[in-house]
Amino acid sequence: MLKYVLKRVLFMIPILFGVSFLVFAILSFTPGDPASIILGNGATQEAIDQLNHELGYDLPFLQRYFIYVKDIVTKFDFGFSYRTRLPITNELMARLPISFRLAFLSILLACLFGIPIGILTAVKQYTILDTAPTIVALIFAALPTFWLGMLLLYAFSLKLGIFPSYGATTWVHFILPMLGLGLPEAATMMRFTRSSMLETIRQDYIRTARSKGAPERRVIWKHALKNALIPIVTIVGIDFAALMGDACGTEVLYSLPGLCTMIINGIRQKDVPSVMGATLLLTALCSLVVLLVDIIYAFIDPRIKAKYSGSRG
Amino acid sequence: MKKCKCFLLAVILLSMLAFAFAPVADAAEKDTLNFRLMFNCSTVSPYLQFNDADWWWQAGVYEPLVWLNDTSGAFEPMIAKEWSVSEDGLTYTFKLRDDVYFHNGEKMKASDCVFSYNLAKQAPAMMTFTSPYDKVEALDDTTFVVHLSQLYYPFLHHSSMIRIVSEKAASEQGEAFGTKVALAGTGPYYMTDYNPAVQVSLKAFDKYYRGKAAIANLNYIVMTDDSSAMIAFEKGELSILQVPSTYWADVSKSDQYKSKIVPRHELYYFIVNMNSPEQKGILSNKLVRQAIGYCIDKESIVDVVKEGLAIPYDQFMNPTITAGGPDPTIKYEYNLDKARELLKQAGYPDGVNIGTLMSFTPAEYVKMAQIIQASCAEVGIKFDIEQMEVAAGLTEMRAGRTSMAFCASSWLMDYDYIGRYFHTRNDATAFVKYKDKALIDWKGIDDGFNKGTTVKDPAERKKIYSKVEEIIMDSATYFPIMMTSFGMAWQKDLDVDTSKWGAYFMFSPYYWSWKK
Repeated sequence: MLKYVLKRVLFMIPILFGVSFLVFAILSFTPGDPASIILGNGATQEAIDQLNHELGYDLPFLQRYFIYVKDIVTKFDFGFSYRTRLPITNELMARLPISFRLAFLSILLACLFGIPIGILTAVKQYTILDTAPTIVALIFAALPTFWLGMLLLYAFSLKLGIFPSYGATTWVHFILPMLGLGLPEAATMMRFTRSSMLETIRQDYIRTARSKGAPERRVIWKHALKNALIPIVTIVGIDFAALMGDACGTEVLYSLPGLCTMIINGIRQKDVPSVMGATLLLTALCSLVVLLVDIIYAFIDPRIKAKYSGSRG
Repeated sequence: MKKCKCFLLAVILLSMLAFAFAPVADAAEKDTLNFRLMFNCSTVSPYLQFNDADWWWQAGVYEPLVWLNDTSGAFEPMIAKEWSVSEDGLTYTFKLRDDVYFHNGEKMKASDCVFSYNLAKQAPAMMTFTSPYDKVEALDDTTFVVHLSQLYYPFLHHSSMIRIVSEKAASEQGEAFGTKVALAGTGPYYMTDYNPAVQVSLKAFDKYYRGKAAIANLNYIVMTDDSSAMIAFEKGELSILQVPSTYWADVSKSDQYKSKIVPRHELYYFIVNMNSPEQKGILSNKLVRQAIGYCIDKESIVDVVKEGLAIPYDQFMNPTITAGGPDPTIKYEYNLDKARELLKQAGYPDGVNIGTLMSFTPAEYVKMAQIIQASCAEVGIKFDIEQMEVAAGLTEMRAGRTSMAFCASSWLMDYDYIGRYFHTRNDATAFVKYKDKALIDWKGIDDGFNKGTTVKDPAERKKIYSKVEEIIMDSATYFPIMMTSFGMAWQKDLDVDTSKWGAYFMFSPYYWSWKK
């Protein structure tokens, strides 16, 4: 198992190299340069050239890329933002907890609501306890997160005055963004859990358990859920990673300074180090989450653990 | 087991209740003003770049020698109490106040002005403003002298853009100056917190030479989304707001807030590249370009794009407040019949395809493009719209690869300022390259801008620039569309002195107070 984990961690290195080269190349070969944006539309060529030189943007592409990678590998230095001239590492460290907290709370909400309701709807298939949650879930799944976020802001911040409308200083500031991002996620999770459970409870071993006289509660919680959980864990892991990098609308709406807004602003400002830093961090996190999911598999499914152990021998 | 479950449930419920009733950010306190910034900040330095967000909050922290009152076009004393120009026009002498302190407690001296002007001279973002002078010196602690390299009468406009910083405070920070809180300004507020993606906080400065500001704290909060900002304003979390144009009609009529339209010096204009290689150079035909000019329905653009927060414009600058600003010369009023006639004269009675209009991605540019596309189509001029991010679009425009495009520029209030767009010494970055083109009297433009800065008499300057503007307008390469305004709204219990409002000083909160 340890060997497998190490192998997967090492496999992340070419992934990070590939992503960094690809993003760096895209940013470099699309038209535009940072100085032109910083200095505005009336700038002289002399001023643009001088600023691009100060930022090191006038060097050839491969040289810039080599310097960038070398600084990360040798000094763990992600460079400076072209725009703010602040170290990217500091900015990443300031923004990561915000994105992490938002994604974590949202996925937690999704799991707390989506999985139990998904189980309930599967167990009570074709009853009111199935159709009502399914309809609600469809509505939430269809709502754009940005629009749902706006409704929540309007109702709970402006009209009821319960929550603040912006900021990220306390946990209270994360409740509305969590609901905005987590409710559609809960709907998806519920639908997925329902399908997975339905598929599992039709299996022979469930029928066998029932025929052996096992109580229904035990059949569902012990036999069915444990097997149905395997694909759900995958979804939770992948969605958590996706939420870290895909919460742009929510971050903008609630003025949360997370990693997504860092990437978007960086692209608009041609701030290559900002985009690179945030992208690499998200790539590394995604890879780690997928690895974590694979490890959790082994604990849930003894067959997988046996496979790892077998391959070792 | 059952007890354990009940306990867990109670904990969860209590936590949720605690969350729900936890104290939240209240409406702005009575000694605090909360502003919205539409973009992230970039720098603490007044020299590193010109970004609207930085401009807003820095206006309360740093001050120039003289203030350009952009509501009247007149210069007023700031750090310099008086100034004079030598007979030959090459030396400006500023007599400084002797009661000005920096936020670090040091007294301001002329040597700080020398330091500031030299620091600004090294910054690419300040190149336009610092290019006229080549040497600065301090004669004594209160006399600062600027030596120009050549005659340049708009110099005071430029000096109003150069803020004074403390030599000691900036030097102590060295390379880091611009990236963290610095007590380097002389303004009514000093910085207490700087987080470029979140908030900048300022506090009233006790030793400010005009007396301490009435409002103790200013918070400039980054909120990029218009709807969220509007909700925060309605909730009272923001004290004052530059109202997004889509909300202006409702807010300006509401009796819950006070509001005012403040003119700004930002012009939207349409560019037709006469050198465009697209469609076998059809745009090199002046009649076609003129026909396009007559298809621009400025009134509709103002209504649809800015919801009335702009006025249709026929010239580049406001002649009543701009030094040397000419009155309108050649106008292109919306007239589709005339456009049809011109197109016929150009040899395209059945219409013509002229290629592609590049629009930046923000919605207002796309709407403008669609309005012009629709009216051009009515006379038979067809083109596609291509959207690009600003970074990419600007590069394409500067390289002369776009056929048509929009742009918005904020002007300094001297006509010479727009020379950076039209004078052929800046051909490398110009959107339409005039140099050595037989289609336009580019020498006339260059001569006008060269001469305009050497003439002291305002009437004479106006005459020179009238000629320049006539050549540009006649070339049918740039079409002014609208001059925009800020629609400002603020909470009812905030006393705002609007007589000092101008775009440059961003409605200085120094003059405001909360009602008791």
